[in-house]
Amino acid sequence: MAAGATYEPISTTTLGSTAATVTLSSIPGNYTDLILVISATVSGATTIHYRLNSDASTNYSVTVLQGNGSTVSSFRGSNEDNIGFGVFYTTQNNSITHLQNYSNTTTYKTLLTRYNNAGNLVGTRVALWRSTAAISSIYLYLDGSETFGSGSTFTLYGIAAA
Amino acid sequence: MSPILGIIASQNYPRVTASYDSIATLSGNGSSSQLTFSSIPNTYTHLQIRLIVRGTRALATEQLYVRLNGDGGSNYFFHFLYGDGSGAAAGGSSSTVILLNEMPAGNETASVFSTSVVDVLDYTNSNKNTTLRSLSGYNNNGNTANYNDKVWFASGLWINTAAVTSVTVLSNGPFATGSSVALYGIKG
Repeated sequence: MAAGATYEPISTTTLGSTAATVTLSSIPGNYTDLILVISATVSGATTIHYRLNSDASTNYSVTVLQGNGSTVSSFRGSNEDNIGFGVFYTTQNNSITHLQNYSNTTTYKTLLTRYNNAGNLVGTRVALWRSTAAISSIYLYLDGSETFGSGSTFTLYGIAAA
Repeated sequence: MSPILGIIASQNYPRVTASYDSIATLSGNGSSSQLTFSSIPNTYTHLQIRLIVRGTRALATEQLYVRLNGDGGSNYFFHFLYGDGSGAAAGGSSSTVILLNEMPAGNETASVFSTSVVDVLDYTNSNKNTTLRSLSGYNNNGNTANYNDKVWFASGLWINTAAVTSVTVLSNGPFATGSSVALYGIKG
């Protein structure tokens, strides 16, 4: 079997001040999968929203499973103009999102994420972007006027399959 | 989710010794229901399998399984927790396979594939039974005719202390063209 080192950092964005949005753009198309690792604080409890390739049409849907220490819940959203891909709180939050086969141009894109805030909840979500376009940018934003905290990091990795 | 890797994230840091290697990739061809990685090198600490798959049969979903070293005996246990958009459910069983999730099949919305990330931990250790964990799922935009899309956690146990030398991903029907299963090795 052929072997090759992979799981390469593509970019890291570290906020030097609060920001309402973060954009990861010009994502190279020479990997198989992307992994987005977020370690962030936010100004208030909020959903973190994703848009891919600046698509603001109702081409997104999501299924959610999460628990808050006393209750487990599952819900879904369909025909939405963004992916609500986790819930962040004012204390430290982490999420890891997998975008597999992101550069193929024949299938819709399925994303998997796992997110947690130790004092509030743990969850996982799967989302569908009904587009066969290769993913070249990821736009992240929050509810209302909430902002990402200074020092928040957004690191994008590329994995190349043999 | 993925084992913690000591990765230097910033492009400003010098590259460190690689610890995550791509080993091999297998593809669905519309006729095979089993995809097997054999002769897996024993030079890593953990394995990771990354899947994007779909079935072909005229069903809404197909179950997706893993088997190790070709062992088809009743030597596995698995547990799962899933959310289907209306509620959460859990289950488990002893079996001849480890259940990972349900993937979309021929009757599901076109162009929808499920994805999975599976970690096989300490796979060469001959002093312990092998465990694995996975995160999987797909979404079909609320296709109520096939309200089977879910997000899954699963864990599995192979009651055998042998080093893992082969991994088979299998289903009850063929994997569709466009399905891909990739094996990675993680050094520790």
